[in-house]
Amino acid sequence: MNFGKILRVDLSSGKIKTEEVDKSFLRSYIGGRGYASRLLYEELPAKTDPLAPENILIFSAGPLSGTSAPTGGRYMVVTKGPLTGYIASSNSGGVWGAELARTGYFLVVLTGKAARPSYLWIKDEKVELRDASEFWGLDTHAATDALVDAVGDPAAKVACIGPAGEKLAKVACIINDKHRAPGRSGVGAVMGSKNLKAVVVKGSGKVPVADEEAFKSARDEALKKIRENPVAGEGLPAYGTAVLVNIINGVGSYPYRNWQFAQMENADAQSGETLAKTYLTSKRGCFSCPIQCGRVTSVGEKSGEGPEYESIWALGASTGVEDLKHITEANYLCNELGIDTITAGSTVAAAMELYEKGFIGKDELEGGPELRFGSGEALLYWIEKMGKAEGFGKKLAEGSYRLAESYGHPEFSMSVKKQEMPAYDARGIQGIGLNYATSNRGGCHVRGYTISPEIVGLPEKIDPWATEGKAQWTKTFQDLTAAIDSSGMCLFTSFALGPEDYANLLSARTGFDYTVDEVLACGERIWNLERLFNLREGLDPESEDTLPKRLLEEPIPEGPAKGKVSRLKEMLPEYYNLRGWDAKGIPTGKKLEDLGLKGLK
Amino acid sequence: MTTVRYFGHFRDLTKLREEEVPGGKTVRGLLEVLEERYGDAFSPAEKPVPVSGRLILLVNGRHIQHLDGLDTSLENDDILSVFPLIGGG
Repeated sequence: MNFGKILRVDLSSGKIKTEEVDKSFLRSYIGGRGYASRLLYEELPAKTDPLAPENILIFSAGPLSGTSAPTGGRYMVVTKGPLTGYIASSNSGGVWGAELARTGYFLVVLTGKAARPSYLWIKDEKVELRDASEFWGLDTHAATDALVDAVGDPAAKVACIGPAGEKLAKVACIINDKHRAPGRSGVGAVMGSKNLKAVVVKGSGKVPVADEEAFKSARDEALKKIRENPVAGEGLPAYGTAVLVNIINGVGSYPYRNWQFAQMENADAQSGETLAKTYLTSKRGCFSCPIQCGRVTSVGEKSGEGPEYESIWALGASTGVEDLKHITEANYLCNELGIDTITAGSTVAAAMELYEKGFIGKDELEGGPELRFGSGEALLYWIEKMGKAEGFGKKLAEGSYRLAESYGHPEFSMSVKKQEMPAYDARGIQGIGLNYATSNRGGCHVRGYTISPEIVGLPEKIDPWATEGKAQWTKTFQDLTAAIDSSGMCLFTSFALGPEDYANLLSARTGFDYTVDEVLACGERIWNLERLFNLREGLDPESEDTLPKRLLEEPIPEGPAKGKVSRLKEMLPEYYNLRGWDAKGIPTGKKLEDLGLKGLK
Repeated sequence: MTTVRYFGHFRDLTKLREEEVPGGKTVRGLLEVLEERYGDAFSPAEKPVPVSGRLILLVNGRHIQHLDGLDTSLENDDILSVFPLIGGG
């Protein structure tokens, strides 16, 4: 079976070589996130500075990327993240990942640092490292257009950084297809540190499958389940992710003003329902996607995609900004400058709290708008400064943790492992707090999306206020998600699909004959490997598998979840135990042996 | 009187964001009133599709499953929020 090749580019010397994938690794780690994490673990020396040339930046397709599996166009960016200092593992949609798979390359492994601004042009098997001096400084949209022109192929797809990545901002993301992002942990800064503006791909091949008939049958079954599912087949296509605003606010767990509150009086002004009636112009899906959750919007002269739910929350509720116009404009700015919306909004929110409490002085703002909660003007101004790392924006570009710590108050950073948490208050939704605290890439919802059972009721409804059973839900979701991220499919399919569907699709594609248990075991193996990576980098579970003090000690002041705090300490020991880790959160020898991870250096 | 808030496509169906509805002593009773007014989408019947497979119902911000389900009683000034089954993130 042809799985595609590994492409290695040493940016320092310009040397390019290819190698075959290791089929036993592929089987054990599926692809995408898993395979790339294994490679990073083996090849990256411990304690490497994330922004040093020695860091390794990996773009990785999954075995289903580029196939007709529903949503089979995802890819991962895996590296050591400068925001967290731990593993960065960012997933993205659009069409770029499918295009990469169609070139015949499955992984692109980048090391070193180019002597001048460069971009990589991959056209099927042909690979060139080209001068990008004329594109350096361009925002992601202008760069994408210019690079498509430069390679002379209008069907070429671009993943690039904006000014933020070039300036090594720890809030920087990578943007592909103009509007999609491997967003988190500062992956854009790693690309900038390598003087790499973009990876441009064009593939004309067909991704093969081992068993055409079985593949078609598994694909049709999965498609049917997605189309018949109320979330994946109706809710997401109709309203996009922003439909969550009202319900999360409704249950009183929509963090407001840097998590000082958990409900926003006029949240409806920034809801999916309001977006649909104001700035929405059409819907757009990623490669081979039946869900079509992407929102195409326009505000005045500008148009773009989004904002998505998490971005609306971070740029809006977290900063106290209600107006969807400002939020949408801020979202466009983030995409153009190449910064992660969750981290960007949360960092402005932390700055607002620091300013309002008198820690940041007015003189530091050099005449810029005051950092007051609710100010759309301040939001837009400071996002731009952050993305360009100019003036006080340089401090913002470091993310909320380093910003707040520089004033002696890291507790105002609403982050885990220095990465900002997303849009669900862990005091009113207990399971998601356990997931944030244990996520291998720091504060994140898409490692183990327990919101699905805790709020939506899929696959079954569980009580968001309870702690019982949350350790098992968190572990199961984390393991399954690691497998899905490795497959090349979108996590949103999991509203409708179960492990057997992924096993069937993967088996038909690879010929490996995966069972449900094996798919989940692959996910667990990936999770533990990421954990081992972080431990090697110096992770201290006792002080870092935790949540901000505010969530553990300050009760929600209002609304349906009034009085709640996160009861993380009740859940964490059970979680470690279920994971087969010792009481200090270290994987036991037996667990590593069971997962085939024993003996890793 | 219960205040009923509509979300998602229920706003299109009812042409309302919110209204006061008399007569429902329980969530089930209120859904019956809404079913009569607006049709099957609000039906409290568990077949052919269970209520939990169609609707997310919150009483004062709490999902009815963690109260008394469809038998959850409604007092004056209670707020029932009606969402389609939605998710995202």
